[in-house]
Amino acid sequence: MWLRIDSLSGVPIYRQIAAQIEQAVMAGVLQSGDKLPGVRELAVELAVNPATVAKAYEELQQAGVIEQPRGRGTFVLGGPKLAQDERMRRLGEAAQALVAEAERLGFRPEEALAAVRRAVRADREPPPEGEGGDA
Amino acid sequence: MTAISLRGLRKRFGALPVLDGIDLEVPEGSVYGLLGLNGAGKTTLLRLLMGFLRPSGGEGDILGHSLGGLDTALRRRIAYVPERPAFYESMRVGELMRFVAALHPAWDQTVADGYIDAFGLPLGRRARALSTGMRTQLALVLALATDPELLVIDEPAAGLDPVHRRRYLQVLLEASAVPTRTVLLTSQDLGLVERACDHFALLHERRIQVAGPLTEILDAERRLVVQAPAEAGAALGALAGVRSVRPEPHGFLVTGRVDERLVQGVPGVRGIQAYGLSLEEIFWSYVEG
Repeated sequence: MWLRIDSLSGVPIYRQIAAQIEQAVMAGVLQSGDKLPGVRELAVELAVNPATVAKAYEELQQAGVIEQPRGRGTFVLGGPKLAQDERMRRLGEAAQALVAEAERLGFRPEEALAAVRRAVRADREPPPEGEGGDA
Repeated sequence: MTAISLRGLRKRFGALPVLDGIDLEVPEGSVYGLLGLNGAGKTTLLRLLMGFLRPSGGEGDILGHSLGGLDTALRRRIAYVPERPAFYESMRVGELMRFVAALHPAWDQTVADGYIDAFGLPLGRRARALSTGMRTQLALVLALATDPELLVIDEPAAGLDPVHRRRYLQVLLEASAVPTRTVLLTSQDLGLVERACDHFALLHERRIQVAGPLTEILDAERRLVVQAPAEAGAALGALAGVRSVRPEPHGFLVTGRVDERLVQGVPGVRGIQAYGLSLEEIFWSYVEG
């Protein structure tokens, strides 16, 4: 697999593995029904202890990202539906963070909403000539 | 099943206490990392286990036999790889293998050949002409080919470049896959311990400060940014699992295995932000407080 372990990131390895698989599911790189490598196989490939991979899979199973039917392997669960729920959850989190930040800065909720609308408009308008061509 | 069990183990050199009440349970089949700073007593602990040193107090069992009772039969079930392995320096790699094989009834030549290949070790080279990294690899191969139930390694992968270190780790992990084999290693390399081990213990100031399954500990350790008045400090420090409480401009930085709900219940607490800790942060939080 394309998983990468960053030993200097300060993020526990099992969280790195879980996050990268989850992102791949979100992005559609992994899709419903796809089989993931076995715990031991992935552990050897990444040169990490199998317990670390098992822990990552356990977290992914609890989050509803994968399923591990006994003795049959590890499969990606959900797909589009799961991705939709998860996307909604993350959008909700981002919105809560924005509301909290607005509050901290002393703005009322309506002012926060107005800022979101302005940001959406700015995003839709084409950039002025000669600028922003680095996309 | 427990491969190693230590209860109140102590060791002093003259007037100098090195280990002062070590309690440790190493489950069978685990890859157990013993972490500690230079001079923490890691090697002394291994040497006590191997019966090279006598404890000053306390007791322990190793593979079901009490410490100090390591007869030849038991000794053959254990392989010890010191940080700087010693060989008969004029022997070639192939000769060294035959030499160790003759001493060990359980010697497995197929295993030895496989790992010699995996590391690309030159069979015809004399020990004294091997690089530090090759010596480290050869010592591991010789240990593994004796099919040990307990593999004890002092500072594994010492002297290896990143490429060989990875290969060494893969070999070690592959060899640990034997369910009845237990690996105990010492290291000051947090990255290696987090990769290779499923359990770890931190040895500091002559005692084990924290020990257990690695992912469980990583899961449980927290740093909380707590907004609270200065008076709340004492109550926060008294909570179960709290190791340190440091004052911050608008509250405290609380570190430990802390239940956030308990913190929430402390009078005056206005808000909490929780962060997980990496193994390195956990290490420093015990070593520096």
